[in-house]
Amino acid sequence: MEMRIIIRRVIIIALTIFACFLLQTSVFSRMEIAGVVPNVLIIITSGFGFLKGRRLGGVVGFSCGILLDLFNSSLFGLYGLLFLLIGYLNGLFRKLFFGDDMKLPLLFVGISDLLYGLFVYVSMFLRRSRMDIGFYFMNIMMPEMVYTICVTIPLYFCLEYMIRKMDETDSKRGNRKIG
Amino acid sequence: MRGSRSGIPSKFILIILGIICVVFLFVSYATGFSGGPLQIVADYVFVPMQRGIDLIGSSVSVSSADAKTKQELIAENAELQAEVERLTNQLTKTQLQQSELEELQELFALSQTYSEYETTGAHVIARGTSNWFNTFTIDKGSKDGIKVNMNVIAGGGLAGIVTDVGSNYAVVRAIIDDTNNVSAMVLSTEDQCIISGNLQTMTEKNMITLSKLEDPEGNVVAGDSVVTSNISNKYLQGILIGYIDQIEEDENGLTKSGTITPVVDFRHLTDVLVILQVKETGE
Repeated sequence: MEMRIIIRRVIIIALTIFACFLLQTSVFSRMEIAGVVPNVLIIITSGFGFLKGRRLGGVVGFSCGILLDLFNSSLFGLYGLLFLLIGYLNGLFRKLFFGDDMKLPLLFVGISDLLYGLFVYVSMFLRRSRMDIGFYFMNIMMPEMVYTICVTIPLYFCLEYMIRKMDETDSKRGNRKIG
Repeated sequence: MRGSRSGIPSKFILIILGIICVVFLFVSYATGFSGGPLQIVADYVFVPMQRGIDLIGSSVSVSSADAKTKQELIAENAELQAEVERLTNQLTKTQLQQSELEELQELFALSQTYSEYETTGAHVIARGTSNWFNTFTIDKGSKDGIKVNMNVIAGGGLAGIVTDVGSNYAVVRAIIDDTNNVSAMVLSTEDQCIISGNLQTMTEKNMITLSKLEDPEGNVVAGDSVVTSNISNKYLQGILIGYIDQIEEDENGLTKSGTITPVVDFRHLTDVLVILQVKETGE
């Protein structure tokens, strides 16, 4: 029974990542605003992190990152590492989180996206002596963060609802087995 | 619940996955590994879905184009008729020149350098996954004969180069990507230069940078076309890249740099042509 629950979770989470990746590469890329597209994968990485803890945050982040690596031409594994760390770091704040409060998740997603931007800038732009961080901050990181936060609002409700349902059914089944 | 589900502490997961990533990084740095067996997942899971979504998306955008009024269409038709006439005239002239050129080339026993490349058309089915880089995925892969380092053109100009190939898809890095460099030359003077993608100038004014142009006589002026160079080791010769916007002398007094406007409209890229020929340089 334990095994079945785990498999079910894996499938649900994999489908979520799959849907979000398609959302980002095929749907949102047609809805560019101010030259940027939102970062949907950061939202689910961060979301799983602070809703479900370090372990799941890290695993989901790692999967998202490897997926990005597959469709990118830079070094393989870079995004994997970055998203793994972001998921894990968000997981550290799980205990801070209470039910329906919306401000905290938005804050975490925003900070995660900024971290992501900074990491990409330092690892792939600064080392090729692109020094003008102010420009990149104002034209790439900030707009991306704002857009991502806007997208977080609807997406977060779906994610939270899904996780709550998943937990409920899983614990019901668990109880039935014990009883 | 949490503890009973699996006994592995989260720190171990972090460390193990971190090590996997670092190993991937080293392997990819050393051998150019880009996913290996994982690419199969991309081939059979993601690419078909992306194709489907792209199809829906493009049909939606086509139907918004349908919504033009009759007057608009008539005006546009008249305009296009005029254009066709002008182009037909131009074509006749060019054909005459072409036959003359061929005769002369035969006389000189020159092999044709700008031979027509064999191409295959492809759809752009997904955009790159980040705002920092400019890559896109096309719906053809090794099954259709696509290989790494093939040149991709669109609308008469150079669009990018194939960097990763799966059996049903290929990832293309655009020439405006910040990490991309093309060895190029100015068409009129055959002076060599380097064209580099640049996120900053691209965001500010839709241009990319030109550098290391050696032009001691100062013959190169704004408006000149820039094409891929004969000494480039990845790009086939003579593909149009763009037009010079402005150039100025560097501090060293030997070379010049400036900006060029690419001919390809990267914001509305939907169909591209892949040249089925990899430049052979004997390396």
